[in-house]
Amino acid sequence: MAVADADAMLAKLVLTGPVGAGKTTAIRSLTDQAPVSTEMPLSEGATEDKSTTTVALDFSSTVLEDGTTLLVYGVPGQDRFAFMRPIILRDALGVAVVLSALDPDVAGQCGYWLREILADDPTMPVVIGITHTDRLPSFNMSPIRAVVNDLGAEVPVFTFDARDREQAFHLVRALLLIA
Amino acid sequence: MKNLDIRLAALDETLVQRVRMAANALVTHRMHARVAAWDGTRCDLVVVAAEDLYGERVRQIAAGRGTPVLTLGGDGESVLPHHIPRRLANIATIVRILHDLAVEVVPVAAQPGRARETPKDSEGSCALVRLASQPDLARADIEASIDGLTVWLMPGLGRVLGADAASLREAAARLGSGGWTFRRLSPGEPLPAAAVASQSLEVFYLKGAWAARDELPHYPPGACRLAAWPDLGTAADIVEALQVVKALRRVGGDVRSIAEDAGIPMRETAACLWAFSAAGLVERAPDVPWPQPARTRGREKEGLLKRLARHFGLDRGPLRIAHT
Repeated sequence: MAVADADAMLAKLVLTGPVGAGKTTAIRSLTDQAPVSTEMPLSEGATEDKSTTTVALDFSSTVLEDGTTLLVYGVPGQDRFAFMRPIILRDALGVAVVLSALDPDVAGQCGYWLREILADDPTMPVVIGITHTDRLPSFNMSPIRAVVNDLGAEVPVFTFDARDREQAFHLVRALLLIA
Repeated sequence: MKNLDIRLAALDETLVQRVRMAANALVTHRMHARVAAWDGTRCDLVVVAAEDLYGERVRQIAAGRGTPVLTLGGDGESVLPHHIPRRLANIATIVRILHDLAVEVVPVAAQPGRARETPKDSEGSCALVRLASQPDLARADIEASIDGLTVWLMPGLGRVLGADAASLREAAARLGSGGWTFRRLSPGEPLPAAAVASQSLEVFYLKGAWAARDELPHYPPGACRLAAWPDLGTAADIVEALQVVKALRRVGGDVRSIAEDAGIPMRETAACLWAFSAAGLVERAPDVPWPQPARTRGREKEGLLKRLARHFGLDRGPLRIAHT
Protein backbone atom coordinates (compact mmCIF):
# COMPACT_ATOMS: atom_id res chain seq x y z
CA MET A 1 0.00 0.00 0.00
CA ALA A 2 1.37 3.43 -0.93
CA VAL A 3 2.16 5.85 1.87
CA ALA A 4 -0.56 8.28 0.71
CA ASP A 5 -3.14 5.47 0.74
CA ALA A 6 -2.05 4.43 4.19
CA ASP A 7 -2.42 8.02 5.41
CA ALA A 8 -5.93 8.17 3.98
CA MET A 9 -6.87 5.17 6.12
CA LEU A 10 -5.70 6.80 9.36
CA ALA A 11 -7.44 9.52 11.31
CA LYS A 12 -6.24 11.18 14.45
CA LEU A 13 -8.43 12.79 17.07
CA VAL A 14 -7.00 14.53 20.12
CA LEU A 15 -8.60 15.23 23.48
CA THR A 16 -6.93 17.68 25.76
CA GLY A 17 -7.66 19.82 28.78
CA PRO A 18 -6.74 20.18 32.42
CA VAL A 19 -6.28 17.37 34.90
CA GLY A 20 -9.45 15.68 36.14
CA ALA A 21 -11.87 16.96 33.52
CA GLY A 22 -12.66 13.55 32.06
CA LYS A 23 -10.44 13.07 29.01
CA THR A 24 -9.66 9.43 29.75
CA THR A 25 -13.33 8.66 30.39
CA ALA A 26 -14.33 10.33 27.11
CA ILE A 27 -11.74 8.32 25.17
CA ARG A 28 -13.16 5.15 26.68
CA SER A 29 -16.64 6.21 25.53
CA LEU A 30 -15.45 7.02 22.02
CA THR A 31 -13.56 3.79 21.40
CA ASP A 32 -15.49 1.31 23.55
CA GLN A 33 -12.32 0.20 25.24
CA ALA A 34 -10.07 1.37 28.01
CA PRO A 35 -7.21 3.46 26.67
CA VAL A 36 -3.61 2.57 27.18
CA SER A 37 -2.78 5.07 29.88
CA THR A 38 0.27 6.19 31.69
CA GLU A 39 -1.42 7.03 34.96
CA MET A 40 0.22 7.76 38.27
CA PRO A 41 -1.25 8.49 41.71
CA LEU A 42 -2.06 12.16 42.17
CA SER A 43 0.58 13.68 44.41
CA GLU A 44 -1.94 16.20 45.67
CA GLY A 45 -5.62 16.93 45.23
CA ALA A 46 -6.63 13.27 45.13
CA THR A 47 -10.32 12.61 45.75
CA GLU A 48 -12.51 9.55 46.04
CA ASP A 49 -13.43 9.96 42.36
CA LYS A 50 -10.01 10.90 41.09
CA SER A 51 -6.89 9.39 42.61
CA THR A 52 -4.69 9.08 39.52
CA THR A 53 -3.80 11.31 36.61
CA THR A 54 -2.42 10.83 33.12
CA VAL A 55 1.24 11.82 33.14
CA ALA A 56 2.23 11.26 29.53
CA LEU A 57 -0.69 10.41 27.33
CA ASP A 58 -3.73 8.23 26.81
CA PHE A 59 -4.11 6.30 23.62
CA SER A 60 -6.84 4.21 22.14
CA SER A 61 -8.00 3.31 18.67
CA THR A 62 -10.97 1.92 16.83
CA VAL A 63 -11.39 0.56 13.34
CA LEU A 64 -14.18 1.93 11.18
CA GLU A 65 -16.31 -0.28 8.94
CA ASP A 66 -14.22 0.53 5.88
CA GLY A 67 -11.00 -0.32 7.64
CA THR A 68 -9.99 3.23 8.52
CA THR A 69 -8.22 3.34 11.86
CA LEU A 70 -9.18 6.16 14.19
CA LEU A 71 -6.42 7.00 16.64
CA VAL A 72 -7.59 8.81 19.75
CA TYR A 73 -5.02 10.54 21.94
CA GLY A 74 -5.47 12.15 25.31
CA VAL A 75 -2.89 14.83 25.94
CA PRO A 76 -1.93 15.52 29.53
CA GLY A 77 -2.98 18.62 31.31
CA GLN A 78 0.15 19.35 33.28
CA ASP A 79 2.22 22.28 32.07
CA ARG A 80 5.45 20.29 32.20
CA PHE A 81 4.16 18.14 29.36
CA ALA A 82 3.16 21.10 27.20
CA PHE A 83 6.04 20.40 24.83
CA MET A 84 4.25 17.22 23.74
CA ARG A 85 1.08 18.91 22.57
CA PRO A 86 2.22 20.26 19.18
CA ILE A 87 3.81 16.90 18.43
CA ILE A 88 0.60 15.02 19.07
CA LEU A 89 -1.63 17.66 17.48
CA ARG A 90 0.24 17.45 14.17
CA ASP A 91 -2.06 16.10 11.43
CA ALA A 92 -4.98 15.74 13.82
CA LEU A 93 -8.46 16.13 12.32
CA GLY A 94 -9.46 18.16 15.33
CA VAL A 95 -9.23 18.68 19.04
CA ALA A 96 -11.82 18.31 21.77
CA VAL A 97 -10.95 20.35 24.85
CA VAL A 98 -12.50 18.70 27.89
CA LEU A 99 -13.11 21.04 30.84
CA SER A 100 -14.79 20.53 34.20
CA ALA A 101 -17.67 22.77 35.24
CA LEU A 102 -16.46 22.33 38.81
CA ASP A 103 -13.33 24.33 38.01
CA PRO A 104 -13.98 27.86 39.38
CA ASP A 105 -11.96 29.25 36.47
CA VAL A 106 -13.47 27.13 33.71
CA ALA A 107 -13.80 30.16 31.40
CA GLY A 108 -10.16 31.06 31.96
CA GLN A 109 -9.18 27.46 31.24
CA CYS A 110 -11.23 27.58 28.05
CA GLY A 111 -9.37 30.66 26.85
CA TYR A 112 -6.01 29.20 27.82
CA TRP A 113 -6.52 25.94 25.91
CA LEU A 114 -7.99 27.62 22.85
CA ARG A 115 -5.04 30.00 22.63
CA GLU A 116 -2.58 27.14 23.12
CA ILE A 117 -4.10 25.12 20.29
CA LEU A 118 -4.82 27.92 17.83
CA ALA A 119 -1.40 29.51 18.32
CA ASP A 120 0.14 26.33 16.99
CA ASP A 121 -2.40 25.86 14.16
CA PRO A 122 -5.06 28.59 13.65
CA THR A 123 -7.03 26.32 11.32
CA MET A 124 -7.31 23.42 13.76
CA PRO A 125 -11.01 22.52 14.34
CA VAL A 126 -11.77 22.68 18.06
CA VAL A 127 -14.78 21.85 20.21
CA ILE A 128 -15.18 22.46 23.92
CA GLY A 129 -16.80 19.75 26.04
CA ILE A 130 -17.75 20.65 29.59
CA THR A 131 -18.28 17.85 32.09
CA HIS A 132 -19.72 17.61 35.61
CA THR A 133 -22.52 20.15 35.08
CA ASP A 134 -24.84 17.66 36.79
CA ARG A 135 -23.00 18.46 40.00
CA LEU A 136 -23.35 22.22 39.62
CA PRO A 137 -26.93 23.40 38.99
CA SER A 138 -25.80 27.02 38.90
CA PHE A 139 -23.29 26.36 36.12
CA ASN A 140 -22.99 29.46 33.91
CA MET A 141 -22.26 29.02 30.20
CA SER A 142 -22.08 32.75 29.38
CA PRO A 143 -18.45 33.49 30.40
CA ILE A 144 -17.26 30.56 28.31
CA ARG A 145 -19.20 31.77 25.27
CA ALA A 146 -17.75 35.23 25.81
CA VAL A 147 -14.23 33.82 25.72
CA VAL A 148 -14.95 31.93 22.50
CA ASN A 149 -16.54 35.02 20.91
CA ASP A 150 -13.58 37.18 21.88
CA LEU A 151 -11.27 34.80 20.07
CA GLY A 152 -13.48 34.96 16.99
CA ALA A 153 -13.21 31.23 16.52
CA GLU A 154 -15.90 28.86 15.22
CA VAL A 155 -15.87 26.69 18.33
CA PRO A 156 -18.95 24.75 19.49
CA VAL A 157 -19.27 24.60 23.27
CA PHE A 158 -21.20 21.60 24.57
CA THR A 159 -21.95 20.35 28.05
CA PHE A 160 -21.79 16.58 28.09
CA ASP A 161 -21.37 13.48 30.20
CA ALA A 162 -18.02 11.90 29.31
CA ARG A 163 -19.34 8.51 30.45
CA ASP A 164 -22.14 8.60 27.90
CA ARG A 165 -21.09 7.13 24.55
CA GLU A 166 -23.74 8.97 22.53
CA GLN A 167 -22.90 12.31 24.12
CA ALA A 168 -19.18 11.77 23.50
CA PHE A 169 -20.04 10.89 19.90
CA HIS A 170 -22.14 14.06 19.65
CA LEU A 171 -19.15 16.17 20.63
CA VAL A 172 -17.15 14.58 17.81
CA ARG A 173 -20.05 15.09 15.38
CA ALA A 174 -19.86 18.82 16.05
CA LEU A 175 -16.12 18.69 15.46
CA LEU A 176 -16.59 16.94 12.13
CA LEU A 177 -19.13 19.53 11.02
CA ILE A 178 -16.66 22.37 11.46
CA ALA A 179 -13.66 20.43 10.11
CA MET B 1 -62.77 30.96 -4.73
CA LYS B 2 -63.11 31.04 -0.96
CA ASN B 3 -59.81 31.02 0.93
CA LEU B 4 -59.76 29.11 4.20
CA ASP B 5 -57.17 29.02 6.95
CA ILE B 6 -57.30 25.61 8.69
CA ARG B 7 -55.19 24.77 11.75
CA LEU B 8 -54.39 21.36 13.19
CA ALA B 9 -53.67 20.38 16.76
CA ALA B 10 -52.46 17.11 18.30
CA LEU B 11 -53.28 14.94 15.27
CA ASP B 12 -51.05 12.00 14.49
CA GLU B 13 -49.26 11.74 11.15
CA THR B 14 -51.97 9.60 9.54
CA LEU B 15 -54.76 11.99 10.40
CA VAL B 16 -52.69 15.02 9.38
CA GLN B 17 -52.22 13.47 5.95
CA ARG B 18 -55.91 12.71 5.62
CA VAL B 19 -56.89 16.25 6.60
CA ARG B 20 -54.39 17.71 4.14
CA MET B 21 -55.76 15.55 1.35
CA ALA B 22 -59.32 16.42 2.31
CA ALA B 23 -58.43 20.11 2.38
CA ASN B 24 -56.99 19.83 -1.10
CA ALA B 25 -60.18 18.18 -2.25
CA LEU B 26 -62.19 21.23 -1.13
CA VAL B 27 -61.07 22.90 -4.32
CA THR B 28 -63.87 20.99 -6.04
CA HIS B 29 -66.21 23.09 -3.89
CA ARG B 30 -64.41 26.27 -5.00
CA MET B 31 -62.59 26.50 -1.69
CA HIS B 32 -58.84 26.92 -1.35
CA ALA B 33 -57.62 25.71 2.03
CA ARG B 34 -54.29 26.50 3.66
CA VAL B 35 -53.43 23.95 6.36
CA ALA B 36 -50.95 24.68 9.14
CA ALA B 37 -50.27 23.76 12.73
CA TRP B 38 -52.20 25.54 15.45
CA ASP B 39 -50.27 28.55 16.76
CA GLY B 40 -52.87 30.19 18.94
CA THR B 41 -53.88 32.82 16.41
CA ARG B 42 -57.24 33.23 14.73
CA CYS B 43 -58.17 31.07 11.79
CA ASP B 44 -61.25 29.78 9.96
CA LEU B 45 -61.39 26.15 11.02
CA VAL B 46 -59.64 24.01 13.58
CA VAL B 47 -59.15 20.24 13.46
CA VAL B 48 -58.11 18.64 16.74
CA ALA B 49 -57.43 15.14 18.02
CA ALA B 50 -59.98 13.50 20.25
CA GLU B 51 -58.96 12.17 23.65
CA ASP B 52 -55.91 14.39 23.79
CA LEU B 53 -55.34 17.05 26.44
CA TYR B 54 -53.67 19.47 24.05
CA GLY B 55 -56.34 18.87 21.44
CA GLU B 56 -59.05 19.50 24.02
CA ARG B 57 -57.35 22.70 25.14
CA VAL B 58 -57.20 23.97 21.56
CA ARG B 59 -60.80 22.93 20.98
CA GLN B 60 -61.90 25.00 23.96
CA ILE B 61 -59.94 28.06 22.84
CA ALA B 62 -61.30 27.83 19.30
CA ALA B 63 -64.83 27.23 20.49
CA GLY B 64 -64.55 30.22 22.77
CA ARG B 65 -63.74 32.34 19.75
CA GLY B 66 -66.58 30.91 17.74
CA THR B 67 -64.24 29.10 15.37
CA PRO B 68 -65.71 25.86 13.99
CA VAL B 69 -63.92 22.76 15.26
CA LEU B 70 -63.72 19.29 13.76
CA THR B 71 -62.59 16.59 16.19
CA LEU B 72 -60.95 13.47 14.78
CA GLY B 73 -60.00 10.15 16.27
CA GLY B 74 -60.86 8.20 19.36
CA ASP B 75 -62.86 5.01 19.41
CA GLY B 76 -66.12 5.91 20.99
CA GLU B 77 -69.03 8.22 20.48
CA SER B 78 -68.84 11.70 21.94
CA VAL B 79 -71.16 14.57 22.59
CA LEU B 80 -69.02 16.93 20.55
CA PRO B 81 -70.97 18.45 17.65
CA HIS B 82 -68.50 17.58 14.87
CA HIS B 83 -66.61 14.44 15.80
CA ILE B 84 -65.47 11.66 13.48
CA PRO B 85 -64.17 8.54 15.28
CA ARG B 86 -60.97 7.10 13.84
CA ARG B 87 -62.69 4.10 12.22
CA LEU B 88 -64.89 6.49 10.21
CA ALA B 89 -62.27 9.16 9.54
CA ASN B 90 -61.76 8.49 5.85
CA ILE B 91 -60.97 11.31 3.48
CA ALA B 92 -64.44 11.50 1.94
CA THR B 93 -66.06 11.94 5.35
CA ILE B 94 -63.53 14.55 6.39
CA VAL B 95 -64.14 16.47 3.14
CA ARG B 96 -67.87 16.41 3.73
CA ILE B 97 -67.67 17.72 7.31
CA LEU B 98 -65.03 20.32 6.45
CA HIS B 99 -67.24 21.55 3.63
CA ASP B 100 -70.31 21.69 5.87
CA LEU B 101 -68.38 23.72 8.43
CA ALA B 102 -66.71 25.93 5.85
CA VAL B 103 -69.81 27.08 4.00
CA GLU B 104 -70.83 29.20 6.99
CA VAL B 105 -67.38 30.63 7.54
CA VAL B 106 -66.48 34.19 6.69
CA PRO B 107 -62.73 33.80 6.23
CA VAL B 108 -60.60 35.68 8.75
CA ALA B 109 -58.52 37.18 5.95
CA ALA B 110 -61.69 38.67 4.46
CA GLN B 111 -62.80 40.30 7.70
CA PRO B 112 -62.01 44.02 8.00
CA GLY B 113 -59.08 44.56 10.36
CA ARG B 114 -58.67 40.84 10.87
CA ALA B 115 -55.64 39.97 8.80
CA ARG B 116 -53.84 36.93 10.15
CA GLU B 117 -52.60 37.73 13.63
CA THR B 118 -49.07 37.29 14.74
CA PRO B 119 -48.52 35.29 17.91
CA LYS B 120 -49.11 37.31 21.05
CA ASP B 121 -48.01 36.97 24.61
CA SER B 122 -51.17 35.23 25.69
CA GLU B 123 -51.36 32.15 27.83
CA GLY B 124 -53.19 30.37 25.03
CA SER B 125 -50.19 30.60 22.74
CA CYS B 126 -47.53 27.97 22.48
CA ALA B 127 -44.79 28.72 25.02
CA LEU B 128 -41.99 28.30 22.50
CA VAL B 129 -43.61 30.67 20.04
CA ARG B 130 -44.21 33.24 22.79
CA LEU B 131 -40.56 33.18 23.76
CA ALA B 132 -39.27 33.14 20.21
CA SER B 133 -41.52 35.98 19.11
CA GLN B 134 -40.47 38.32 21.90
CA PRO B 135 -36.70 38.73 22.13
CA ASP B 136 -36.95 40.75 25.34
CA LEU B 137 -38.88 37.86 26.90
CA ALA B 138 -36.39 35.30 25.60
CA ARG B 139 -33.51 37.25 27.16
CA ALA B 140 -35.18 37.57 30.58
CA ASP B 141 -34.77 35.15 33.46
CA ILE B 142 -38.24 33.68 33.89
CA GLU B 143 -40.15 31.48 36.28
CA ALA B 144 -42.37 29.41 33.99
CA SER B 145 -45.28 27.38 35.33
CA ILE B 146 -47.97 25.12 33.98
CA ASP B 147 -50.43 23.03 36.01
CA GLY B 148 -48.30 23.15 39.15
CA LEU B 149 -45.07 22.35 37.30
CA THR B 150 -42.42 25.08 37.55
CA VAL B 151 -39.08 25.55 35.84
CA TRP B 152 -36.73 28.51 35.75
CA LEU B 153 -35.55 29.67 32.33
CA MET B 154 -32.17 31.33 32.79
CA PRO B 155 -30.80 32.62 29.48
CA GLY B 156 -28.17 34.54 31.42
CA LEU B 157 -26.72 31.19 32.48
CA GLY B 158 -27.68 29.33 29.33
CA ARG B 159 -29.49 26.86 31.61
CA VAL B 160 -32.95 25.78 32.70
CA LEU B 161 -33.45 24.72 36.29
CA GLY B 162 -36.06 22.51 37.89
CA ALA B 163 -36.78 20.32 40.86
CA ASP B 164 -35.34 17.21 39.17
CA ALA B 165 -34.57 15.72 35.80
CA ALA B 166 -38.08 14.29 35.45
CA SER B 167 -39.73 17.68 35.89
CA LEU B 168 -37.40 19.18 33.30
CA ARG B 169 -38.35 16.41 30.87
CA GLU B 170 -42.04 16.90 31.50
CA ALA B 171 -41.76 20.66 31.12
CA ALA B 172 -39.89 20.29 27.83
CA ALA B 173 -42.58 17.96 26.53
CA ARG B 174 -45.20 20.63 27.19
CA LEU B 175 -43.41 23.58 25.60
CA GLY B 176 -45.48 23.20 22.45
CA SER B 177 -48.70 23.89 24.28
CA GLY B 178 -50.39 26.95 25.66
CA GLY B 179 -51.35 27.54 29.26
CA TRP B 180 -47.91 28.53 30.54
CA THR B 181 -47.55 31.40 32.99
CA PHE B 182 -44.36 33.44 32.79
CA ARG B 183 -43.03 35.61 35.64
CA ARG B 184 -39.91 37.66 35.09
CA LEU B 185 -37.43 37.26 37.92
CA SER B 186 -36.25 40.46 39.54
CA PRO B 187 -32.56 41.34 39.14
CA GLY B 188 -30.66 39.60 41.90
CA GLU B 189 -33.64 37.48 42.91
CA PRO B 190 -32.20 34.30 44.40
CA LEU B 191 -33.00 30.98 42.81
CA PRO B 192 -35.50 28.96 44.83
CA ALA B 193 -34.23 26.06 46.89
CA ALA B 194 -36.24 23.70 44.67
CA ALA B 195 -34.05 24.48 41.67
CA VAL B 196 -31.53 21.71 42.18
CA ALA B 197 -31.35 20.20 38.68
CA SER B 198 -30.28 21.98 35.54
CA GLN B 199 -29.62 21.37 31.89
CA SER B 200 -28.76 23.30 28.75
CA LEU B 201 -31.50 25.80 27.91
CA GLU B 202 -31.01 25.14 24.19
CA VAL B 203 -31.41 21.38 24.66
CA PHE B 204 -34.54 22.02 26.75
CA TYR B 205 -36.09 24.12 23.99
CA LEU B 206 -34.93 21.78 21.25
CA LYS B 207 -36.48 18.74 22.95
CA GLY B 208 -39.73 20.66 23.36
CA ALA B 209 -39.76 21.91 19.78
CA TRP B 210 -38.88 18.47 18.45
CA ALA B 211 -41.72 16.85 20.36
CA ALA B 212 -44.16 19.51 19.11
CA ARG B 213 -42.81 19.85 15.58
CA ASP B 214 -46.07 18.71 14.01
CA GLU B 215 -47.95 21.42 15.81
CA LEU B 216 -45.60 24.37 15.60
CA PRO B 217 -46.54 27.16 13.17
CA HIS B 218 -44.52 27.97 10.09
CA TYR B 219 -41.32 29.77 11.00
CA PRO B 220 -41.60 33.44 9.96
CA PRO B 221 -40.10 34.36 6.59
CA GLY B 222 -36.84 36.24 6.29
CA ALA B 223 -33.18 35.46 6.56
CA CYS B 224 -31.62 34.49 9.84
CA ARG B 225 -28.45 33.05 11.26
CA LEU B 226 -27.09 31.90 14.59
CA ALA B 227 -25.17 34.26 16.82
CA ALA B 228 -23.43 31.37 18.57
CA TRP B 229 -23.38 27.59 18.62
CA PRO B 230 -26.17 26.30 20.87
CA ASP B 231 -25.12 23.92 23.61
CA LEU B 232 -26.54 20.70 22.16
CA GLY B 233 -24.21 18.28 23.91
CA THR B 234 -26.95 16.37 25.71
CA ALA B 235 -29.28 16.25 22.70
CA ALA B 236 -27.37 13.42 21.06
CA ASP B 237 -30.62 11.86 19.88
CA ILE B 238 -31.41 14.82 17.61
CA VAL B 239 -28.51 14.68 15.19
CA GLU B 240 -30.46 16.71 12.63
CA ALA B 241 -30.12 19.81 14.81
CA LEU B 242 -26.37 19.82 14.25
CA GLN B 243 -26.88 19.95 10.49
CA VAL B 244 -29.28 22.87 10.92
CA VAL B 245 -26.77 24.67 13.12
CA LYS B 246 -24.05 24.16 10.56
CA ALA B 247 -26.24 25.59 7.79
CA LEU B 248 -27.27 28.54 9.95
CA ARG B 249 -23.67 29.32 10.83
CA ARG B 250 -22.32 28.77 7.35
CA VAL B 251 -24.80 30.38 5.00
CA GLY B 252 -27.77 31.70 6.94
CA GLY B 253 -30.98 32.31 5.02
CA ASP B 254 -34.68 31.64 5.36
CA VAL B 255 -36.09 28.40 6.67
CA ARG B 256 -36.38 26.87 3.21
CA SER B 257 -32.77 27.56 2.23
CA ILE B 258 -31.57 26.36 5.63
CA ALA B 259 -33.57 23.16 5.22
CA GLU B 260 -32.13 22.59 1.75
CA ASP B 261 -28.58 23.29 2.83
CA ALA B 262 -28.90 21.04 5.88
CA GLY B 263 -30.71 18.30 3.98
CA ILE B 264 -33.35 18.25 6.70
CA PRO B 265 -37.15 18.44 6.14
CA MET B 266 -38.76 21.86 6.58
CA ARG B 267 -40.78 20.79 9.60
CA GLU B 268 -37.73 19.63 11.55
CA THR B 269 -35.72 22.65 10.44
CA ALA B 270 -38.48 24.97 11.64
CA ALA B 271 -38.55 23.17 14.99
CA CYS B 272 -34.83 23.83 15.43
CA LEU B 273 -35.31 27.48 14.48
CA TRP B 274 -38.14 27.92 16.98
CA ALA B 275 -35.94 26.39 19.68
CA PHE B 276 -32.90 28.50 18.88
CA SER B 277 -35.07 31.62 18.62
CA ALA B 278 -36.59 30.94 22.03
CA ALA B 279 -33.03 30.71 23.35
CA GLY B 280 -32.30 34.13 21.89
CA LEU B 281 -29.59 32.85 19.55
CA VAL B 282 -31.16 33.68 16.18
CA GLU B 283 -30.25 36.97 14.50
CA ARG B 284 -32.52 38.32 11.80
CA ALA B 285 -31.12 40.80 9.27
CA PRO B 286 -32.28 39.91 5.80
CA ASP B 287 -30.26 42.45 3.83
CA VAL B 288 -26.90 41.93 5.44
CA PRO B 289 -24.57 39.36 3.91
CA TRP B 290 -23.40 36.96 6.56
CA PRO B 291 -19.72 36.70 7.29
CA GLN B 292 -18.63 33.19 6.45
CA PRO B 293 -16.85 31.25 9.19
CA ALA B 294 -13.33 30.52 8.06
CA ARG B 295 -12.96 27.24 6.24
CA THR B 296 -10.58 25.28 8.37
CA ARG B 297 -9.49 22.34 6.30
CA GLY B 298 -8.97 21.56 2.64
CA ARG B 299 -10.74 19.14 0.40
CA GLU B 300 -8.02 16.55 0.71
CA LYS B 301 -9.62 15.14 3.87
CA GLU B 302 -13.16 15.14 2.58
CA GLY B 303 -13.33 11.40 2.05
CA LEU B 304 -11.95 10.70 5.49
CA LEU B 305 -14.38 13.14 7.07
CA LYS B 306 -17.28 11.41 5.34
CA ARG B 307 -16.20 8.03 6.64
CA LEU B 308 -15.84 9.38 10.14
CA ALA B 309 -19.23 11.09 9.86
CA ARG B 310 -20.76 7.75 9.02
CA HIS B 311 -19.02 6.07 11.95
CA PHE B 312 -20.16 8.72 14.43
CA GLY B 313 -23.76 8.64 13.23
CA LEU B 314 -23.84 11.93 11.40
CA ASP B 315 -25.46 10.43 8.34
CA ARG B 316 -28.77 9.37 9.83
CA GLY B 317 -30.16 12.04 7.53
CA PRO B 318 -28.52 13.03 4.26
CA LEU B 319 -24.76 13.25 4.64
CA ARG B 320 -23.86 16.92 4.61
CA ILE B 321 -20.23 16.88 5.48
CA ALA B 322 -18.98 17.82 2.00
CA HIS B 323 -17.49 21.25 1.50
CA THR B 324 -19.03 23.73 -0.88
